[in-house]
Amino acid sequence: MELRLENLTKIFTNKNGQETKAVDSLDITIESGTLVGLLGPSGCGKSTTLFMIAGLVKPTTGKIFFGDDDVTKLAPEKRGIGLVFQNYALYPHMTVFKNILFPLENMDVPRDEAFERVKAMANLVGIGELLDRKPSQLSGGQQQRVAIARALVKKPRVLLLDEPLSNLDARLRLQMREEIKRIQRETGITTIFVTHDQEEAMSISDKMVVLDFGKEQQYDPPQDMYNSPDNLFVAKFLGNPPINSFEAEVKNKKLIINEKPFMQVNIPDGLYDVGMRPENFRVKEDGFQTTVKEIFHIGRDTMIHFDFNGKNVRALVDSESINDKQKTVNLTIKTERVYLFDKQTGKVVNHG
Amino acid sequence: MDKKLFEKSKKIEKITFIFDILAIIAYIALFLILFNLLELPPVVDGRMNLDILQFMTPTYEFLGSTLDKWQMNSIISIIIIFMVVNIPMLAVNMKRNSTKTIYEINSYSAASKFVQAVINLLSFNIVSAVLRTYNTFITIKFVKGYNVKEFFKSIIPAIKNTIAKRKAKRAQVIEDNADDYSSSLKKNIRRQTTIHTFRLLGTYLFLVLMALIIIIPFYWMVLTSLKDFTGATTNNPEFYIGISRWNWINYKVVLTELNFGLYIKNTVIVAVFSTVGTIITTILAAYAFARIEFKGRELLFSILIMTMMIPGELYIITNFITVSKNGLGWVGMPTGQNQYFLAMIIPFVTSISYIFFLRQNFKQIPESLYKAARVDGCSDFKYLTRVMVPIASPTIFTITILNVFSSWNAYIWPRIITGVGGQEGQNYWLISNALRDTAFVQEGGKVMYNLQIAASALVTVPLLIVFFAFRKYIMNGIGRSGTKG
Repeated sequence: MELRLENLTKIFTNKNGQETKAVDSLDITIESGTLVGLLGPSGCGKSTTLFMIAGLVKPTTGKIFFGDDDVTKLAPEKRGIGLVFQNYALYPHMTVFKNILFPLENMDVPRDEAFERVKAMANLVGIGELLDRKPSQLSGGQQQRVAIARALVKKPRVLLLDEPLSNLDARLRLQMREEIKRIQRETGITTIFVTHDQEEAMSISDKMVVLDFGKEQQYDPPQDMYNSPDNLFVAKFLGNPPINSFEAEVKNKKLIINEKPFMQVNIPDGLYDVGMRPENFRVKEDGFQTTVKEIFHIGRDTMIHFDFNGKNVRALVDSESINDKQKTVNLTIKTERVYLFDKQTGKVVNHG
Repeated sequence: MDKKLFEKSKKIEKITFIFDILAIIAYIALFLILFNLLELPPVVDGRMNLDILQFMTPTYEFLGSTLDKWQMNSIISIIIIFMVVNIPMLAVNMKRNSTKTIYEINSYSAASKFVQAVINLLSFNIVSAVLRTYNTFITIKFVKGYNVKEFFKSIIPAIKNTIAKRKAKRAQVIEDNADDYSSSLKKNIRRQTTIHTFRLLGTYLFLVLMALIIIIPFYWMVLTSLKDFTGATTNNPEFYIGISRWNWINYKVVLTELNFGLYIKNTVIVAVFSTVGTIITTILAAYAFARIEFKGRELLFSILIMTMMIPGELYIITNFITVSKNGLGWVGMPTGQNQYFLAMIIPFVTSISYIFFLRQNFKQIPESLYKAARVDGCSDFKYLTRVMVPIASPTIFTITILNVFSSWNAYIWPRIITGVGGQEGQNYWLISNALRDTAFVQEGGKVMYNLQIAASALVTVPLLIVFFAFRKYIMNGIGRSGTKG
C-alpha cells in the first residue's frame, strides 16, 4: 500500500509560547512494499514523523494518506499499523505468547485463529521455542523479535520501526538488520525505519529520506544519495570517514586549490564549498601533488592527511600505493566525484 | 546428580502437602467442634454470671469417653499447638518447594525433611510422616548417592572418620611448633578468631535480649488471656501454666457473651468495603494523574497533596456534620433509620497518600508501553486493567494491606459514629471501640481482666499473622510512602 505525506507539519509549543518546528512541510510518497529509512541527526523530527504516521501525535497541518484513504484524523488502532519501539515496549508481566496475542485480543480475532497466527508469526521471526518466557528472560535480540512479531501479527498495512536496533550490540545489530530485511521481504509490507545510524539506513533501505531540522533534504535510493548528494548536509551526513569539505574558488571555469588549477568545472566563477570523499582519491603519478602531513595505516587502507586551501583533508588510499617515508604524494580524483555546493543555499551545482 | 530423583522428591513433597492440608483441616474441624462443646455459665437475670466461670467443673461426652474440664483444656491446647506449628510449616514448605532448584538441595534439606517428619509424627499426621521419611531417603540418595542400607552403614565410619581427622589435625599442630614465625602467626589467627567469636556472641546476646523485651508483652498477653480470674489477678503471677489450665472458655465468653463475634464481623465488613473502595478510587485517580492529560491536572493534584498537610482530626467535625441528620442523615436519626456502615465506610473510600504513592509507581511505567497499547487498539481503561494494574500489583497489594490495617485500628471515627444512638449504635461497634467500651466489670466492681486480655489478644493476633505473612510488602509501603498509612 502506498503511503503519502502531504505538507506534513508539526509545531510544538512550550509553556512560554515558543514554537519549535519539529517537522516542516514534509512531502513524501512511499511506494507500496518498499522499506524506507528515515535518517537524520537526533532531534531532526524523525520519530515525530513516525508517530504522526502512527497517529500517536497529531500533525499541526498537512495530511497523511494510506493508499487513497486520508487517515490524518483516524485513531491509531484503526490505521492498521504495526509499531516497534526503541525499547521494544513489551508488557513485562505477560509471556511472549500473550504479548504477541495482545493486539489480536483487542481486535476480537477468534481464539483458534489468533493462536494459529501467533505461532506462525513467532516462527517467522524465529522465536517459536520462547513463547512461554517472560520478556525479562530474553536477550535483547529476542525481545526485538518479539516486538516485531507483535507489530506484524495483526497484519498491518504499514510497519513502523523506531530506532529498533539502537539497544543492541554491534554484532547483533548486523544480524537483526538482515533479519528485518528478510521479514520485510517475506511479508512484502510497506515499512518505515527510523534511525540515526547512516550505515544501518543505507544497508537496509530501498529508499532513504534524510531529514534536518524537520525538513526533507533528499529522498532517493541509498547509493544514489551517496553518489550524488543534493546538498552539503546530505553529503556530510553520509559516509564514514566523513566527506572532506573546504572552500575553493572557481576562476575561468577552473577550480583553484592551493593556488593551482585542480580541474575543469562548468559553472560560473565564485566561491564554493567543495566536497571530496576520502575513498575517491587515487594515487597516480600524473596527479595533483600534495605534501603529506601524516600517514595512518588502518589495515587494508592507508589514511593520508594533507592540506587543501588550509583545511585538513583526508584521503583513503590502497596501502600498497604509498610508503611511510614519502613526503609528497600525487593524488587524482574523478571529476564526477568532486561536489561543488553553493555557499548560500548549500545545493549542489555540478551534479544532477 | 540425578535429575529424576529431584523431580520425584518434588512430586512426593506435593503429595505430602495434600495430607498436611487434610491434617490441618482436621485440626480446625476438631477445634471448632470441641470449642462449641465448651459449656458457658448459666444466664441469670439476662446477664451471664461470669463470677462462677472458674469454679465450674463441667464434664463433656466426646467420642464415647467422658472428659473433665482439665482434659478438655489439654486437648484443645494440643490441637492449637499443632495448628500453630503445622500451618506456618506448610506455608514455608509450599513456598520453598515451588522455587527450589536442583542446586539448592544438600544434606541439610534431607535433615530438615527428617525433622519435619518427626514433627508430623508428633502431631498425629502419620501419612505425612511416612512420606517425609521416604522423601528424606530419596534426598539422601540424590545428594550422596547412598541407598537406605548404605546410608545406615555409612554413619559409623563417617563419625570415626571425623574423629580421626580431628586427631590428625591436633597432632599436626603439635608437630608444627618448631618455627617461631609461623607459631606467632598461628597465635594471632587464634586470637582473631576468639575476638570474632566473642563479638558475634555479644551481638546475638543483645539481639536475643531485645527480642525478648518485645516478645514478653505478647507472651504475657496470651498467657493472661488463658488464665482464670484468680490466676490473672493474683499478686504472684505464674510465668508458666500447664496446658490443662489453659482456659479456652475465656475466648468463647468474649466471642459470644461479650459480643466480640459481632464486633469482629462489623470490623471485617467495614475493612473490606472501605479497602475495596479505596483501591478502586486510588487506581482510577492515580491513573488519571499519571497518564491522562487534562487541563488543571497539576493544580488539582497539588490541591490534593495540600490536603495531606491538614491533620485528619481537623475534619472530623465537618465530616460528622456531613453524615449526621443535618447532612446526609446516616446517623442521629430515629432508631431503625440509621446507616452506620455507610457512615463508617464512605468517608474512608479514598486516600490521598495512596493516590500519591500509586501515581509515582504508575509514572515509572514507560510511556512507550502506553503508545504500544494504543497502537494495538487498547482503550485507556483496558490499558489500565490489563497492563498498569498487573505491573503495579505489588504496590496495590501493599496499599490493600496497609488500608486493612488502618481500618482494623481505626478508633476515633467509629467511636464518634457508634456513640450516637445508644444501644443501636452499640451493635455497630468495631473491635477497637469494643475493647475500650465493653463492660468487663462484674457486679461488685470486679473487672474481668483475663477476659479483657483475651479480647485484646483476639484483636491483635490476626494483625500479627497478617504482618508476618506480608511483612515484605508492608515494609516496602511504609518505607516508600513515608510514615503515613
